[in-house]
Amino acid sequence: MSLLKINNLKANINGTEILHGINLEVNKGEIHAIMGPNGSGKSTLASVLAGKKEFEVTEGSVLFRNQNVLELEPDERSKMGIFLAFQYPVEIPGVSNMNFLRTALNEHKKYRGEEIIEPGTFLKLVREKANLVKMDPKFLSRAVNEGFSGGEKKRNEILQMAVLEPTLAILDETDSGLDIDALRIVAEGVNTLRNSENAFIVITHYQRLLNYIVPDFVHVLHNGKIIKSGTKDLALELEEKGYDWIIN
Amino acid sequence: MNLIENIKKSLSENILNLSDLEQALKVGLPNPKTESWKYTPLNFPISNYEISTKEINSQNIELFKYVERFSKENDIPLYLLNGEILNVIPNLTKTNIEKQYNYFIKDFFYYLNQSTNKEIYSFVFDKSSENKNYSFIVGALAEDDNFLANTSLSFVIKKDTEIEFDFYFTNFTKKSFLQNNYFSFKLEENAKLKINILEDDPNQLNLINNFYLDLSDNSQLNLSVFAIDGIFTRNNIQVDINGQNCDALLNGLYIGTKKNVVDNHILVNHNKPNSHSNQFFKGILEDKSRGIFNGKVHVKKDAQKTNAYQSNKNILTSADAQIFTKPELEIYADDVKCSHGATSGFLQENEMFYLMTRGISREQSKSLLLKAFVNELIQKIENSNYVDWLDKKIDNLI
Repeated sequence: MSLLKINNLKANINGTEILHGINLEVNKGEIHAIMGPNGSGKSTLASVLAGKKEFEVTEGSVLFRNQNVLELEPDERSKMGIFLAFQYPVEIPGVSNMNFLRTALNEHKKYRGEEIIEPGTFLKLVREKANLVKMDPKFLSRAVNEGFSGGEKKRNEILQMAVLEPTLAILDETDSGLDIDALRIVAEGVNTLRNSENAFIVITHYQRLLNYIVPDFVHVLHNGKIIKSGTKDLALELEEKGYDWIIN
Repeated sequence: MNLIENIKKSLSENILNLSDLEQALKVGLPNPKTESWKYTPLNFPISNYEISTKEINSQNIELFKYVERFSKENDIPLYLLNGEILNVIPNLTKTNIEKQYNYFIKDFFYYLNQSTNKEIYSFVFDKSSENKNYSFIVGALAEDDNFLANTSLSFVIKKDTEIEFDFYFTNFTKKSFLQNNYFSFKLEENAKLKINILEDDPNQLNLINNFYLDLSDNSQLNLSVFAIDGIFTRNNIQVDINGQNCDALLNGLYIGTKKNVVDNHILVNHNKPNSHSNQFFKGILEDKSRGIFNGKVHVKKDAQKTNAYQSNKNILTSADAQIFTKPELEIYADDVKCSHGATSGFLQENEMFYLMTRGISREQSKSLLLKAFVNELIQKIENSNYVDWLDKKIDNLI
């Protein structure tokens, strides 16, 4: 069943068109990988889906669970089930990770008409989820991402995903800056969370991540358009030959 | 000026210092050309104000019931209404004003204050006063708009004494009122003083607060000032470090809303070597409010091995809000460590976006970020009676 349907999506930043008409359909239970050279528009696509204001959508539509989300604020999209794992997670001094996560989860619960979670119950839940990404609990009481290493920040993204349980998670170069061990832990986290009701879009430069998170489809984004789609074998081919053979 | 005429008419000569009144007239009100008032508009019609002659007696103490929300065991309150003391606390004497007061800047408000204060109340605190919390509640009461009162108090903290003061400023009516307050403190050798100043009154209270602090050898000062939600607030805080091995910490938080004006003028004079001072001020300016911060550190020629730091950070939440910040260092000694800096900006869009992508609304993200910004300062008064209340008050405001 269709979860996300992107139709001829065009987007500008400061008057320059970055996305020149993206078409993509993601069904429940699927993992899609998006690859492509630097500057091809991968991160822009992720930001537009999450609702970043700096980008102006000039054409096309994004249907999430059959609802056009382009007019919605980022928090509304989040509560509907869209999650963006940032390429560069933002440091927020003074806001504790724990407080941040609990506020976010409670907003989701309120949206769904559920009771808000008690601090004690939440603590138990978040410890359990932190264990999933092998995150030291001491990071929970620290300010959001402040002074975290690159790897810790990425784990924190996956932790947030595990707590919020989105139906569509977009991982924007989650593998960048990760060593092999951290990569495996992050991938295991994703694999544990995946089920027949949710879907993932994994943006990456390298085939390596796809050894751990096995995609159903691989798309090549170039110059703001998807120029080729295939199965996981396409990623292996790209690893071997680079992008030139498709682009030219 | 109507104000001066009004005072002459209202007060009999035996309680009035006429020469100071004449002097006030001569010096005149600060105007945009007065350097230290350049960015601070008097947003109330001061020249038409009258001096409050309302009869004040100890019955009025009933008014102060509200302060009980802060009371704790060992709390000793002192109530002042329109400049008059309502109750008696230990350690109180009256002294001649001139001895204590020659340090303040001689401007219009100084002479105005002096004109109605021939004698001032003076307190001496020694070891026997320790382990109690002293609250000074400075209230205003008038039956009509545009009244003012002058308050003067002087404090001596004796050698080796450690003490904590809370100051509250409030208006009991919704009539516009100006409090023109002068407080001086002498810290003797090895004295430790913690002062929390709460300026939070939204009831038409205009506030001019002067704090002068004189530090002797090995004394320590820890002062926090919270200027939130007042219509007009001007703080002049001057610290003279007249001894060695002193420590002066000055923390401040100001929040401007609506069309309010909030101004902190800070001066730290390092007159002797081997002391440390730190000014740490943060401001949030919302709506059409205006903030002014002027923090000056003056290191005299003989004040070698001084460590003096200063920081002022501001967040503006509206395009119509304004901040005028001026950190100043003036150093005449050659072996010192000093730093100063000021920042101002809007809320970080990337931080807002990050929080929002997790399902937190714009409004809530904004208050999370602002709360994080002010927390650093609130944490510094953790032992005070009103920290929880202040916390909630700020929550409501931002």
